Amino acid sequence: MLETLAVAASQALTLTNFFGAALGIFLGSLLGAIPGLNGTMAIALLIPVTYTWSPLFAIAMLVGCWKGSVYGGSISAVLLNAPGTPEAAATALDGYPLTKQGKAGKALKMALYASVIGAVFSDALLMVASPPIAALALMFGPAELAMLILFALVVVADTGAKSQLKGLISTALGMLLATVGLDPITTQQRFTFGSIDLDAGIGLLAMLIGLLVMSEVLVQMEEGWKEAHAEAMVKSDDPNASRVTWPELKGCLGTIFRSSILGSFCGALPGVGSITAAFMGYDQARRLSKHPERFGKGELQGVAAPEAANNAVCGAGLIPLVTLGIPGALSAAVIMGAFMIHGLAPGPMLMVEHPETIYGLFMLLILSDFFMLIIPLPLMKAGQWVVSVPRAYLFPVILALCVIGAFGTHQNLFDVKVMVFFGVVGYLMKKWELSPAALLIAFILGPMAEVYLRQALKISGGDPSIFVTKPLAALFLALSLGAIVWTVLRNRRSKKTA
Amino acid sequence: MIQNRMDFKLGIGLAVFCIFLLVYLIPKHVGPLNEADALMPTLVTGFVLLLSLLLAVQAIRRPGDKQHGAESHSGTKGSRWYTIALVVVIMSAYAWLLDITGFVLTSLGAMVALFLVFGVKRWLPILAISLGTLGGLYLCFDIMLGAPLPVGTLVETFLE
Repeated sequence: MLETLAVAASQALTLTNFFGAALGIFLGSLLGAIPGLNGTMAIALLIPVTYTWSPLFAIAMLVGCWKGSVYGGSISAVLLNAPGTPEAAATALDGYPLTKQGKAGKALKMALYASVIGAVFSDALLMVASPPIAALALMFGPAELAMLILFALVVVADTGAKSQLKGLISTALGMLLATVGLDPITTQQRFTFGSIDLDAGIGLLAMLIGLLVMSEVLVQMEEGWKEAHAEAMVKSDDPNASRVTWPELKGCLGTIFRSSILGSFCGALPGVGSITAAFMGYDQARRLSKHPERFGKGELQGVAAPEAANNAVCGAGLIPLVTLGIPGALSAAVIMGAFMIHGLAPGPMLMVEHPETIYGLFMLLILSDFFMLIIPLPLMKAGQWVVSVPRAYLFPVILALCVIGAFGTHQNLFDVKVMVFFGVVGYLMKKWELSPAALLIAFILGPMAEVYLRQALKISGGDPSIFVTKPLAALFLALSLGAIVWTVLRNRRSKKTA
Repeated sequence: MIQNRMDFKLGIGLAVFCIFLLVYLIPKHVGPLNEADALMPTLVTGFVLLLSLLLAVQAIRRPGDKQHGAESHSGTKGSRWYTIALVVVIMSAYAWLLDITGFVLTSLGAMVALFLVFGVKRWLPILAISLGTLGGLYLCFDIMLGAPLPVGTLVETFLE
């Protein structure tokens, strides 16, 4: 073990990798701060640039970008009351009132410190929890793994869709699209329509960029965006208005740790995500506060709690990815795509086959948390300018990046056409209230699910009762059915309350 | 009376697509439904068919959410539809022309067209941002990553 850690450290702790992590945080903070862009879009656009780089450098940069974007969202939330990313919406509740009091600097710095503490906590949990979970997962057979993926898909179906039914439809469509190309076991052509380009299936990156980036531009065009114009910053005479004092930080530490635990829990569970985590963090801070009446009027704990929680999602969100091969959130799904492009198949075998790379990545993640203390500082200073970049100037550049990004990985023009096609599909899906996120995650998990399902059926001689007679498989099947029933009941209850 | 027209149309459309898959596409482009290759596509299509019919039935009984449902989309302004359609046409042309006119010419044309569609009227920022982006992309992909961007058959012929 120690030898593995030493090799991992020697591979990971290099200047080049430090630069990668720092660059990711910078780009993530920058793009996250601009309303209309988000971390997932940023990661999707950056993946093509990384394909010739070492896996450690590339993945450290992409995860850094994820973390940076989660923090970056708080910059526009605090300065403009316009969250740069959805997970920063809770931060705006108290961050913007602080700005109006002339304490924008204080709010942004508290958000930064809480983000860093949340991220360190979550990464430490990732390091500690991943090896035992992966070891446990190694004992699973095809039947257990097939049912585990089914459970993950059912949970993920709730991500982004208007109703559970539409989420399940999106998930099933993703699995159907995953069957395009050569059969994973018999190599028989399926839905290729005689095209060589489709033999390897639909290009993941092209589909991802189309579904997540191009479609988002079309949706924002339809909704008609209102350009963000930062108001002149209110100046305060208080010398402490732009910094966080030690008593203030100490007063928030309890909240930050509780939110970090909540955020990590949400991150480790597939489908829960950072938006829920941020609001849960905010809510627990308000309920446990001695002065709940101050929340919504510029309470520092109201900034610290959601920021610690939404950043704690990132590291913990990698736990199911690294150990089980199941992405817990959309950004994790995009990073899973990066793992695959770099020849690392996420799942329990990852820790057996590439322990140095994985432990090296863990080290870089913790290190990148400390970079977060320094790198976003210039962005805070340039905050007003950054958050006001007009989208009319931004979107043509993003669309050009989409085209070149889709082309760049495989140098294949067919992928560009695929990207445009899925851009339109993603736009229509959002319009019909289906979930591109659920479709994408199902598309990634589909081939694995198929292989395990067929292997299990081969072992049982075609008898599907194997999924009920194996205790763990039966448990995951029951959990899947339970998740569906629970969501139906929850939706009925919320409709009645409404 | 159908309560939620958008969901009803979606459900029926998906159901028809699934039947087409089960009756024609899977047998023709995968194999007989009872073979191992066709197991997953058949299972998943059957599941989508079931869910689509459920969606259609639900749409007959339950009205859509007034704020987020079909009604909200009917308010989309005609000019925005036109702009979205224009962007899709430009992007499609961009994808198809890359092979013929190459990265530089196609990207420059597409970016200028997109800027105009997005309402940017000043030529200096249009050209500066377009050329800057293209230069950056060329530097990044062609020179730094060694991943040549398409030159285009037409440009190649012209250069020869």
